[in-house]
Amino acid sequence: MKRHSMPEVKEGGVNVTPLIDVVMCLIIFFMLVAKIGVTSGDDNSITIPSLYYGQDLRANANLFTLNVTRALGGSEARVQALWQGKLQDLPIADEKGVPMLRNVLTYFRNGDKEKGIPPNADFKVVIRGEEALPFSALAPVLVECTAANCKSIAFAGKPTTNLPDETNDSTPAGPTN
Amino acid sequence: MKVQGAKKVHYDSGPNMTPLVDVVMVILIFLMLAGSFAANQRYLMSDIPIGAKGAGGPQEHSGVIPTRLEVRLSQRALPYECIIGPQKATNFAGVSTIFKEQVERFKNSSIDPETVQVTIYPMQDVRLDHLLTVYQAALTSGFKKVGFGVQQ
Repeated sequence: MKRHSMPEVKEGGVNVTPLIDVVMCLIIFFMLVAKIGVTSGDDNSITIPSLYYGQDLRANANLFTLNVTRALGGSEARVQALWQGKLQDLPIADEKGVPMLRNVLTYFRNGDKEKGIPPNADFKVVIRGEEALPFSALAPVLVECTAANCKSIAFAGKPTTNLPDETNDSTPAGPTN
Repeated sequence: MKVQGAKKVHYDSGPNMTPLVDVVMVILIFLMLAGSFAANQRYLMSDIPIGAKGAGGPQEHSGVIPTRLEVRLSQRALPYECIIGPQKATNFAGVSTIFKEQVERFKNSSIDPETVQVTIYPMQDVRLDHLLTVYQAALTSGFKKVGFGVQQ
């Protein structure tokens, strides 16, 4: 009687099908969740204050970020924002006295009838101010926001679990060199 | 003569997946490195940017005049000096304690602290991080409407 043996199992290598399934799922997840090439106009060279308390507004599409620092050699604020596709200065009043910052904020908040842009009541201004920024420089920016009818303002900070005075540098604000 | 080579079988079960896996892995690593997922910023909300003592213009009221709590902030002491009514504090814990006492006082007077308008009046040299420290103390103590004012 002829004896039948089990057929020989021949594998060409490791089965990569489950690996590809998992990796494809991960790629789709990262493509949907990651924000690549999307900028909100943050100037990452600014050292922003640490915040123990606050909320995450990143999902909000109506944010307009103002990077507020102190102007070199002066005590006035230097405001930069993403406007017309690039990060540029928005002076509170330019050389001709035009309130550039106020005009831009008004455009976003109240819209433009000629271009058919409706007012945006949910418009929020995010202030990314450097932590040592004195109030004398910040106040005019807040005044411009109020003048442009922007009543909703958020201050950006680095999330921290430490209480504020555990992380603060206590150097008083003064003129920079 | 028996030909042995004819019996060999090629096990080619489908397309070669190796280049696909290579490319997919590169894309995956790129997305993991380039994407930003964790919240790297936190925001303190203010619905009233600045008070109306001259600089901000008149504020709109909805008919009801809100109860106000004025907070003075200066750099007279280090790191800062915060004056709320007759009380002073120079750190977050102290400021929070005063705010919590104020919350209790409003509750005892049947005033909802969430309706109280807290206005912080900082001196010109007060740093933003100290300003936000006092701001956070007000919010964590139970006040909801916190804004800034300009001292005259």
